Amino acid sequence: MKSDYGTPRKRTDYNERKVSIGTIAQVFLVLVVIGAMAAGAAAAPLEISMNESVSTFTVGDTATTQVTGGIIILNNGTDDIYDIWVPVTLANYDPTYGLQVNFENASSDVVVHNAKPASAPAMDDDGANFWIQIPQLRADQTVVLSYMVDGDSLSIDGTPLSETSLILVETSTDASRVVSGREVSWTVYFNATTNSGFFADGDEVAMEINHYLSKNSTHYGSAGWTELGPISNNFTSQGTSVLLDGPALYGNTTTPAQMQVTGVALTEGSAVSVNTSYDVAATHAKITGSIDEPFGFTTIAFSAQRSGTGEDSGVISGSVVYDCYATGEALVSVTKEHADGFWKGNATFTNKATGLVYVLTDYALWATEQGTFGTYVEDAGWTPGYDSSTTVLYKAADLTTVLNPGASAGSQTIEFAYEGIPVIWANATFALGKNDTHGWERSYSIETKWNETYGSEFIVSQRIWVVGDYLIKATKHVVPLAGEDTKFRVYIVVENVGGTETPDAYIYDMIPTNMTLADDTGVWSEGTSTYVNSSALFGEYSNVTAPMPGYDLGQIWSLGSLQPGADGTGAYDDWGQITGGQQFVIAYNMTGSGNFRLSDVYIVGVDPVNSLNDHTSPIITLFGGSKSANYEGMFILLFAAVMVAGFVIRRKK
Amino acid sequence: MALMAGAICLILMTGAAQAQTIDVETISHYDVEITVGDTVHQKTTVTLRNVIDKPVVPGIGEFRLQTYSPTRIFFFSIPGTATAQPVEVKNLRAITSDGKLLMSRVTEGEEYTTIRYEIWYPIQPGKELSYILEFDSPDLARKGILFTNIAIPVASDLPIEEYSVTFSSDQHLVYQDGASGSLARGEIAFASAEFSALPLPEVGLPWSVVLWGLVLAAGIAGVVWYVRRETERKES
Repeated sequence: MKSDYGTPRKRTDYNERKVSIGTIAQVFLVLVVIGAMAAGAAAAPLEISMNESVSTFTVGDTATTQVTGGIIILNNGTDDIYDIWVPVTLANYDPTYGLQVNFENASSDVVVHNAKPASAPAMDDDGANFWIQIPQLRADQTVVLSYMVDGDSLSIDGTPLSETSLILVETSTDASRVVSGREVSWTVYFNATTNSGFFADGDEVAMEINHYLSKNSTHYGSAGWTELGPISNNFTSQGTSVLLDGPALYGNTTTPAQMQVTGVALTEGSAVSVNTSYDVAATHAKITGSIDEPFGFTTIAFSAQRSGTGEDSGVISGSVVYDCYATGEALVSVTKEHADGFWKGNATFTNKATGLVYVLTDYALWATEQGTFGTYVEDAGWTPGYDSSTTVLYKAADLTTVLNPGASAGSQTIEFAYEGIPVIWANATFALGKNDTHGWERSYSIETKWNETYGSEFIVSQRIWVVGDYLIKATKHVVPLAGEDTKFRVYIVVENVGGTETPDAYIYDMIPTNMTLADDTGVWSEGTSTYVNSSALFGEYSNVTAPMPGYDLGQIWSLGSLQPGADGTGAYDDWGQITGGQQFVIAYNMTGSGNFRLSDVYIVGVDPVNSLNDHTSPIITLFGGSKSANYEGMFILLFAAVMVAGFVIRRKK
Repeated sequence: MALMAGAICLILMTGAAQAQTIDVETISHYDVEITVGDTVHQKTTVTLRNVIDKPVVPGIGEFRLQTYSPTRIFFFSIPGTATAQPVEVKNLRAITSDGKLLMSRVTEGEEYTTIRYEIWYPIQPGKELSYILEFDSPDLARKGILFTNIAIPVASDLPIEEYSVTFSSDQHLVYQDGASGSLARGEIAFASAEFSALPLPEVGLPWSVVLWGLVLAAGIAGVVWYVRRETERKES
């Protein structure tokens, strides 16, 4: 039989064809799935699994997703199964790729039809667009087909599937920037949440998360890290986390360099997210400027089970396995006897399989004249009769007779008068019932695509900005003054924790409503209540009233260059750093009256480009002016010169 | 043009402003309204957008103004004599779009004038803040006999997502070019216009060049014609 959609492949030619990496990965996935099936309980003899595999790559806020689909037909029992027909509807698929056979070791050909052939049995296949035909599938034989999901034709909350993800990821670090050339550490926060635009309440997602550090630039890392690791302080809000050494492939990281979170079980509508965090210690080679540096990646491996039943529990694309028709080994026997001038005949249908249950749906019993195959015996008085016809032909249809392994079912007995010796015939239609222990069963699953290197193709790149030059950190302390109620001492500590001198900087500060400067001498220098340390770095002070709602005074101090190498502790009495020019301290007193809110005091800003404080704006430089020019005078001058020339010529002539 | 762009690049890079690798803010709109009269009135409306996930206080900003026009002797502009000069700024007004006064001051350097202003209003993540810088200057336009020309640069050390320049005057607008677009950080665009008392249609070229070019060409043709006629008459 020839395929009208792709070429049927036999196991013998499987090794001869070229196999793509994707196909290998898919087959690997299939074997994993098959393994999982074998491990599972009460698998049906004929398993039909529709699986869609998700590949997602996320950098920052941008996710790209691809989905591939697979249909696995597995004889999971001990009996041979024959004449298998599986009608499917593929939705939102890539028609160029279609439905292709990726792997099969069936005893017969495997044919994919894109129109229902006349030879196909009656099935529940309204709406199907592909029919898979397998004439013979022995025990443990498998057929794997694949299709590609068109991610642009599907959307989640208005966003194409190709531009979003089924699991929404948020990853951040407690430090927005770190300094090169010294040991630094930061905390990574990684949250994974089910996409409620896709999952319905009750849908379940099982997940494993792996965080890896990497110094290998071909594996989401960077060789710019001279030391990377260890990971410490692993935390997860769901499941269990452990620290592992991590694969050597990712470079000479300091172990542990992997955090693994297993046993995460999310349910849409209740437990929808898992929060994880870990600390990273690292040293980056000294650089100039700033770079957005990768330090590793996170993989998510998940499988999702939709909460609906039947097609409602389906896959991402909306594709469906409609039905299945298949048979197994059976026996039909016919008996014939002649008594009292009448011929009698009946048939017995026996299930010869050991693990299959059939449903006998119809049979026929008829008599022909000896020596012929198609000349029916005629008898006007035969019983039970059929359609008031004199032809001895009995048909039974729409039966639901269940035939267990080894069991038999008998037919009606036909009785007719015939002077010759008739030939009595019988045939029957019986098929595997939809039964998860003795028939066929279908299942749907959604999971991440297997990746041989990373384990999963759901990959999130982890990056952090590394600053090579100066890096300013501003820390504000508010200390209640002993014995003086509602009076506070404020210290603003500005440190250069980077590796080079800072440019001139501005420090911004605001005094909340109902608080005022106290003991203000109007002089900012050492030795006064409102002081700066040290005055050598101090430029000028200015202020503005009512800078924004909730604040009565805005203050600005301009500073000269801070020397590099401060430790960043924010201590306001670190005289070593103050005298070394690495740190600058501003101090003043303020008092509160009435309904003041001390919490509003904790606001401070700095204004060079590289700052640990994110509410930092660089000086915004606009350019204007003019390059206007008007050359009318030059034209007139030239015109006058031409006229004069003409006049001179005239005079000469 | 290259010289002018080089000069602008220089003044953009001068001082504390440095190459920035992490965008904290962008300029979502940069709208310039130029009114040309006896002097030029410039109103620049800048809309800053906070593109990080924390509030930003813009703090101190600078508007650097420079002319790069040829030297004039009476009303004669001498080509090739352009040098960078500061711009005289009068009647400066710096306010937020909802009318709050911004602290500002003007300093004049050797090559450019700096309007320094301060914004102490935080911009919440994803939100915008607009402010207006408005001033008069006699240095921005060049007046001729029949036409007045103006060409202004637009540039910033922040990306400008959308800019527009509109020109107006009591006289007729007879030429305009480069009035809108977007600019990357440090990129420069020029918008130019020409006004005249004559009600001339816009033809895509400055009329001061077209009209006076035609007059000059007619003069040359007249002289040539006259010389030929006199030569032929003499020969006959």
